[in-house]
Amino acid sequence: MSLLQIVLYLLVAVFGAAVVFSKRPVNQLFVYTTFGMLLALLFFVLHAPDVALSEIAVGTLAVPIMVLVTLMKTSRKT
Amino acid sequence: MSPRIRTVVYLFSAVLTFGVLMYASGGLPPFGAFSGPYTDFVLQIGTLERSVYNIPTAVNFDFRGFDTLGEEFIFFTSVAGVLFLFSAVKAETQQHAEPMESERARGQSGAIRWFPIGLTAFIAALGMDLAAHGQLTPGGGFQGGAVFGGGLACIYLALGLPAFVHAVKKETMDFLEALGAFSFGALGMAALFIAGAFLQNIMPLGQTGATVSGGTIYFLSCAVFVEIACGFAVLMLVFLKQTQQTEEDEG
Repeated sequence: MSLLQIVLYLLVAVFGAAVVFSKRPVNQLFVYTTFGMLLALLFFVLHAPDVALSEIAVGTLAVPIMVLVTLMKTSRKT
Repeated sequence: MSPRIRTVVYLFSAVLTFGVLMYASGGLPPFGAFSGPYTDFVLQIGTLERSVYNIPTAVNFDFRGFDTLGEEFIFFTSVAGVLFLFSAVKAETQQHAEPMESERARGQSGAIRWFPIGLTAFIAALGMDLAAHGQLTPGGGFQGGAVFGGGLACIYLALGLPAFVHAVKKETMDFLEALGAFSFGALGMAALFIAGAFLQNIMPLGQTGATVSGGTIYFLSCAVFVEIACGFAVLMLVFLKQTQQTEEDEG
């Protein structure tokens, strides 16, 4: 296992925990997006560029748009 | 259950789970040394028998094409479900659904409005590139479609919702998405009737390394690209329309 892989594994672990421990949904979304980018980098470093591309598209685009709109819709009048 | 008992139960199960996981991971093969025969087999015949350099694409659209059919229809059904749910919401709030010109889009400078339009073209081209060369380089129908559909979001960011609604015609996108899903199944059925096996690679494989090569793989990838790109566009359209209704409800 190379140094880059070890660093990315640790970062993914740290950000994965940070996603769970984020209290406010909006903050959680941004932590989750960062987590998705790190996960994509990890996939890339592990020689799986196809999976990395899917993760970038879904984790940093599709999920944030849906969650943001849902948050807008549900948090009004509060 | 008192907090004390809860803590004891938690600690007990946590230690137990940790122990079992540690014991199980001791039996794993060393890092990067998975010794399944499937990997070597696919790597060997992928290029020789299917004229494909990017083996994951060959697995997705040929060797395990039937799994991909299932995944495409999971996506298709999810989009249909979302559309169904939001059409019910729309009927409830019909009186608020008048299109309103975006104030934000009018107040922006020219550079901020037009730079993302160029970006949209760039991202759309990147998505098509990923999908068209899926058999040569990493990528394929799903990745390309998701990038293409996502790039359309720049239209919304630059020009606001009315422009996005204008650019992404819902009926056209619905039709194209269904056409992509249908084409996947139709190619599979055609193979069933011509060659006797569902999703068998029936088309000429072409020259390895050419843009159109890999036989059916290339066309299945294109079908998935159309389905995913249009599915993402429709999803964003119905979700972003919800923000418009929220703004109007508040205003």
